[in-house]
Amino acid sequence: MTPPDIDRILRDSVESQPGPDAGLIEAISRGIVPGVRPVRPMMSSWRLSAILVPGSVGLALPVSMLVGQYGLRALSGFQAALIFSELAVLLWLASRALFAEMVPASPRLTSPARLATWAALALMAVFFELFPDRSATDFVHRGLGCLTMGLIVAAPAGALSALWLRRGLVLHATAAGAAAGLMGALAGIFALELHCPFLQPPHLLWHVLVIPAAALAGAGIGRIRRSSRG
Amino acid sequence: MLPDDPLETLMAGYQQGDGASTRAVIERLSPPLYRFFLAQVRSRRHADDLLQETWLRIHQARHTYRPGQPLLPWVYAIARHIRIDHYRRSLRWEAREVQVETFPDPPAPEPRASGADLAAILGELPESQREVLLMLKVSGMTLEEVARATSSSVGSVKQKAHRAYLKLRGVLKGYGA
Repeated sequence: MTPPDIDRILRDSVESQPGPDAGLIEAISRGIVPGVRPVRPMMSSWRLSAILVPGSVGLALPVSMLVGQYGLRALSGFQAALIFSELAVLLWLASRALFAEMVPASPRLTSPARLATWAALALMAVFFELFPDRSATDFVHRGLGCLTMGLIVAAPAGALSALWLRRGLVLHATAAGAAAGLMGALAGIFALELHCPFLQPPHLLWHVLVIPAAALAGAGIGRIRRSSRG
Repeated sequence: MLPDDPLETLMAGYQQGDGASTRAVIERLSPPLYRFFLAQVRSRRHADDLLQETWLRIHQARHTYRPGQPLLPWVYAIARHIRIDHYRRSLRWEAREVQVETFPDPPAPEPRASGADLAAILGELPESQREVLLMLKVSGMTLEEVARATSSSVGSVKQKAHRAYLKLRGVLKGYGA
């Protein structure tokens, strides 16, 4: 049996399948058509990114100014340019992932979970390349402080992203939560790089840990919300 | 707008609040959507419910359709999600059902049209392959459109379709070429 034979059988089967009752289609039309009002199509992913990326940076900046921008002072111009431009690119990619979760069938570069993994690896690669000092003084105490601060910034930034999600149609709540968490995490890391003067990769691992922590928290919240809706 | 206009044009009219376009979109998309559901749930009552639920969701989310983009992937992304939700709900109901000593008589089979039963043929396939084949063959979507509707790559859709054909070759021997 050849593929055209299979096609023919499938085509015959489709044609012999019953369609919906005319009454059902009429009932659906009657339910929708009289109340149909104009709606404004959702903004493009570019416009959403143009709002969300500066918005996330705008949240990280005042926090870092409040606690002191010691990290920015410790970085050379090249290091600062490389780290912050990488974070900006990652924020842009995360905002695209968020948009993909808001609009059914929109092009998807990759899943939020995979993007979070790549983002963490890319940041660690840059940190290891830029900073040769591998010492780990006061590893846990300093690290926990930075992780906490990163998550404190990530929480409102992620919540704002989640608010944007409500404007769309979320089909995969877990993935959408992870995307919002990733947006928040990157805003948190942005604030940390401005604030934290410890430039040893073992310590910077704590900064990057904000990504899995916030993305997992977002995914978990999304999953709970989906379950609660039944 | 005319009912024969491209679906994307009619959908733009729906977004602008045009009743005739809205009705035309419903009338043109309901039959393939219904068959998409019927071939998977194998019950007219459930297919009716799923179709109504899909239109409710499409109506609520019509602002998320981006004018100029192909409409079918957007519609089927919503439809497949509703079908998956229905499947999950039915699993939960089954888990909660109380076991009884004797089973009631099974309901009489629903009237079926002549020809090979699509649901029976596709029932031999795994869920993901069946879904891809339905979109390609029942809804007439392209590989790219199916890839967008299922959030996967064209290569993955091709692979699923290829595997489905290999399996169907064995299943359909009885129907003759």
